[in-house]
Amino acid sequence: MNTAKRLYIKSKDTPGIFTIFILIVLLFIFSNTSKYFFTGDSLLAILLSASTVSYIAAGQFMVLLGGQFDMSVGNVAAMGGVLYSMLAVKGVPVPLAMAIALGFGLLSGFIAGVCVSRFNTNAFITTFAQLQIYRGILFVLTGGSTISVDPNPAFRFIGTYKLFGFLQMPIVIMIVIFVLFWFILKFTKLGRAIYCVGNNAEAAKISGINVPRTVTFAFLMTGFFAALSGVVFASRVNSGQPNLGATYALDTIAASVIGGTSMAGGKGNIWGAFIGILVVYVIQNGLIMSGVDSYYHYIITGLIMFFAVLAQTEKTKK
Amino acid sequence: MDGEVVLKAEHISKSFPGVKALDDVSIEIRAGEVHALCGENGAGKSTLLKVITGIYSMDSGEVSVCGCKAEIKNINDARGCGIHVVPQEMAMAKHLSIAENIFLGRYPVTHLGIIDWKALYAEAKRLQTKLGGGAIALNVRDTVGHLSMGHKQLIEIMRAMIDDNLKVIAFDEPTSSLSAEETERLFELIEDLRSRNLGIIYVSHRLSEIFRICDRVTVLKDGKYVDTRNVKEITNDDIVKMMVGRDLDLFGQKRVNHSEANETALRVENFSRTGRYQNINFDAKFGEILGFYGLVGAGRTEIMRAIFAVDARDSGDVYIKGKKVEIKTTSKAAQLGIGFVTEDRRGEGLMLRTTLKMNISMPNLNAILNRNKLISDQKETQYAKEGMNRFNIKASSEKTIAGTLSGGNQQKAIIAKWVQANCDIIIFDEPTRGIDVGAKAEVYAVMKELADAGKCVIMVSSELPETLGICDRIIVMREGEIMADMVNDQLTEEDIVRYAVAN
Repeated sequence: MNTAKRLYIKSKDTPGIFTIFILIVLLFIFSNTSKYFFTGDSLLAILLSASTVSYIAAGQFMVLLGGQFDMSVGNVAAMGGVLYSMLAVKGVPVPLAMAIALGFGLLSGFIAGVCVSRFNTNAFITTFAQLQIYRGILFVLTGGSTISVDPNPAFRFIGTYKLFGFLQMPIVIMIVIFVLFWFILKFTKLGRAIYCVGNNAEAAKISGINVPRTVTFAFLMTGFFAALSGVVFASRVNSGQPNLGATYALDTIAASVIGGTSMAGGKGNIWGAFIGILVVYVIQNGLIMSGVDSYYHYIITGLIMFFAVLAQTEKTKK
Repeated sequence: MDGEVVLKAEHISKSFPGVKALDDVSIEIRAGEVHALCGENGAGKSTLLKVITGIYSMDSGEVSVCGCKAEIKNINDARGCGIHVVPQEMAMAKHLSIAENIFLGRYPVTHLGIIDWKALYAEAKRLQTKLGGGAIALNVRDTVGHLSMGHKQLIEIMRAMIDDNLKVIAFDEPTSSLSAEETERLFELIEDLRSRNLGIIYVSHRLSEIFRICDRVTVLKDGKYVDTRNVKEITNDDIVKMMVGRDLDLFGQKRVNHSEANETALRVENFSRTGRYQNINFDAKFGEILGFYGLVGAGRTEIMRAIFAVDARDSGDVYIKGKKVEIKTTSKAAQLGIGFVTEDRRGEGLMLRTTLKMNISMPNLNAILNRNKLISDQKETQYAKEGMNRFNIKASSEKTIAGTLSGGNQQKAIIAKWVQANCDIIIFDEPTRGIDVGAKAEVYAVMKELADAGKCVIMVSSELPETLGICDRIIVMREGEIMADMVNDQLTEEDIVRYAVAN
């Protein structure tokens, strides 16, 4: 077997290699189509725009790994941001407002997790129902308009503080989250349990793994990090937006799929999901910077997903 | 017997990465014969069937049908040539009717291109009549969901019979999940198919069946052709010798049982579940192999699943080492040192899409943690390798994907994961179903070794020879009740069957 073929086969076994390849190609193309693209500032800006969604991508990845998925993430994020903003406007201390917003995320994940794992409801329907309910609550709470917050350094800290004077908090949080997820999945019993449940829930059950607890944990993660995403975004733009996150569920599932995660569960790599979400946002920003109508990014993201799936699906044994 | 040769496969070779699955194998099937295909797991029987039916492409070799070279690239080509396989695990669309399942993918259509339902049901009825026997009892408009394995097999056979040019029909381990009655019916059916001058390939591990219904037998070993013989001219031992290349003592030396004085490991009191089992009481001791014999549906598996908290029960208590325990979850059962090798190897035993390593460590992740309570890859590899060596699991490394292993090796991997987890009480549910004699002997040896090491071994089995061959004590069940609890001291098959079957 020659080296190229071996590399090709290895890339099928290792989710992520294909995704890195795509990212490099995209960076190469956009650095040619826009002279501003490949500068430190603009790359940081892309990273910043991807950062808050990437928290959800990490959570979504974990749920997919466990063989489920979460459609409600976008509206949970909006709820997080709106709660955080409204409470701050009402004069609730910022740490408490944040705790309540994040608590909402945990509660939402808990409900989804318990329904799916204990009552065997379908994950799509369950989280879709949650999405609808939150959308309604958001309209009731805000009347559909943005909640602006008076200038308040405490409120804005988590979204705008710059570490070492240049690294914005949302990016720092993103790095922390992905390292944390990598760590959980690689080194902890709970992380391993998610792999096992996603692979074969029956076998995992017989082997003494607590399946409901494991699945609920994964949903707690999406709920919590979706709410966090909303909080950080609200802090960054100084307002709570009820319309936030309409595309988050699909963007984050796309990121995982581009990153080589199996929709059947049990197979995937957290760094694949990380690069996947970067790919989605590099396309969006790169097109805008190259002067192309940004609506094209849907088409291109779709095409890349398509090829990612083709390239990474194991060929049926023949 | 000397019918024309309908199917000839010559010099077939097929390699998978790292394994030569078939190496210059030839076989010929004549019209009107039942031709057994024998060999241990991994000998290449299934691969050969898959090559013949185009599911796998061959590296070299030639297949010819009725003397003409056939190009079979997929299962439809195979059907076109008149070759049909009744697979071991039958895929059915369970919400559709019997008739629809028979014609799945080949619905008759009217000249407008829409499904011709009338013709569909009429044709299904015609096939039913043609097949006769057990098929008659079925209503072709019923859904297949609730049908028994035996009936699903009938549907598969009817699928094959759609083609008027059907020449060869292959059965892959057809009796592995049939009841005794269904097996009898299948044999009658095979006789009938033979009388229609079809060539029949019969893949089975059960040698008694081969002597019962087959005319010739071809034995494969490690992907190589060994011999083809007339069944009438050989004995059971001859086949075994050809399969394993040595004389094989299946059950090994009779164990000396000292367990009577031993501590009681597991005690079950008053287990009941309406419609499944009633009033079940038994003890299992350390150092003994306790057998549960009964016909399929006698309630044995259900009791084991209730002990392990996989399924619920209405009432009853469990005691371990004399202490009453509440087992509400499978994790609790595993913590208490109970291991459960389930009947459904692929569905409940293994994570087929991932590595052996992760499978073996699954029930006991604590064993692979380092000082900081984190998973250590080094420890896990070590742990998995120990298990693989101990049970002689044939795989290129601990990173091999579990689903690519042969049935016997999969079973050994499941046993390895429980034994490595240091369970004191291990329940084996039909541990040798669908695995070959060589692997069977290994499984028996492992069970005896475990009992010798003081573990409590419980085996649920529907096979009398193995129950009598290795158990120290045998509990016989019938229709959800314990009929007898006997020390296995010179018991005969009759002693047991008497209790298992209603008078």
